[in-house]
Amino acid sequence: MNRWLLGVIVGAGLGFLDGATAWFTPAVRPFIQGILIGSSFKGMIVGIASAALARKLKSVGWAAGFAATIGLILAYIVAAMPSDTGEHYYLEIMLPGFVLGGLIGFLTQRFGK
Amino acid sequence: MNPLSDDIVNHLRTVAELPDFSGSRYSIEQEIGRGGMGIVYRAMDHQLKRKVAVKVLNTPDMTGEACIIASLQHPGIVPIYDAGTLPDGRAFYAMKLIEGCQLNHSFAAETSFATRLQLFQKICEAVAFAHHQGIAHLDLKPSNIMVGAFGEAYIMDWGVARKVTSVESAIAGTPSFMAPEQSVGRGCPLSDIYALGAILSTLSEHIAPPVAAISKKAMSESMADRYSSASELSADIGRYLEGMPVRAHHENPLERLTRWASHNSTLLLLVLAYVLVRLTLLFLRFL
Repeated sequence: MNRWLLGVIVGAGLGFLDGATAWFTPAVRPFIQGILIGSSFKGMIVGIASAALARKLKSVGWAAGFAATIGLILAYIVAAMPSDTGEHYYLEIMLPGFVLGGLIGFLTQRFGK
Repeated sequence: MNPLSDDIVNHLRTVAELPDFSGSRYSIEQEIGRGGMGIVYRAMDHQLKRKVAVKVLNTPDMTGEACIIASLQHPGIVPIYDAGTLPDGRAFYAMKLIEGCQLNHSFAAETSFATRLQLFQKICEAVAFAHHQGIAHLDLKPSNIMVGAFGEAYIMDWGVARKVTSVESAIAGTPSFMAPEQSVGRGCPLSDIYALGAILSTLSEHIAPPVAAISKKAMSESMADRYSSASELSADIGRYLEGMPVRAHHENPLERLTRWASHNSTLLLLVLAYVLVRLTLLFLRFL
């Protein structure tokens, strides 16, 4: 599959699933719709960045590392925004965001054409 | 009178056996191989100032081996440079001197199985080319395959090779690499497939089940059950190397899962890492 399309689909899909895990946090459950949209969008950006890197570099390891870093940065931006209760969920957002970014980068590099 | 020592007798015998290349462009340096069809020497080509391998045939017939090799121009088949006849009537031909070792001695213990299989694929490609040109080797075995210093493979010793159109062939070959039909003088390209299967089984002491199945299929007693071509055999090896199911082996679900997991270990690791992170965070939340 075209790497740009794959990056967008994989990023949005995995981002959506990642956002859906917020359902397990009762405090943010009322905002699940916004979280799903935001998380999918974040995943798409990581996917597009991964596809852009894949054009220049043919290395699965570098692609995963690069995408994980982008995922971490985006997750930090999201986590830096306080919730309605004023709490920050740095660990809960950044750690999965980092691993998910790596996964998106890996898939885009490995299976994109 | 003092009798000559064994060493001197052996030396005189060796010198007497050396072919007479005086007056030619070649000077013989040493014997490097000996087979049923002739002797191969390392020699110096003084005209082009390079080392070559010269094979002196036991017969004056030049139409067989040399002409067959000359008709096969492929990176996996040793190229022939020159041919002629010695003063004693024996035919000879000069070919590229391969600085390497035979397939059965070429693998260091640390050579990965995948590297060995890739080399095997190169051999298959050369055999497929020969078959396409209408020639069957009929004596494929590890000692007839040279591996160069950079991992290139050359098929040597085309002494018993035959045009595919001639159904009858001499009963020649090496028993452990010889197809059943060859023992009754009916060697054909499918006999080479059998030999390739036998070579495949010698590549490693521990062969993965799919590769063992490929070898077994290639070595089927019935020609109809073998791969129809060396390219088809190579393609099945390629499928194994790419982590895809091979045609010669029907996997059970566990084997399929294991193959998928071993081929996608990084992906599996990343998914597991993500799941682990999520479960840990969930666990911490409920503490």
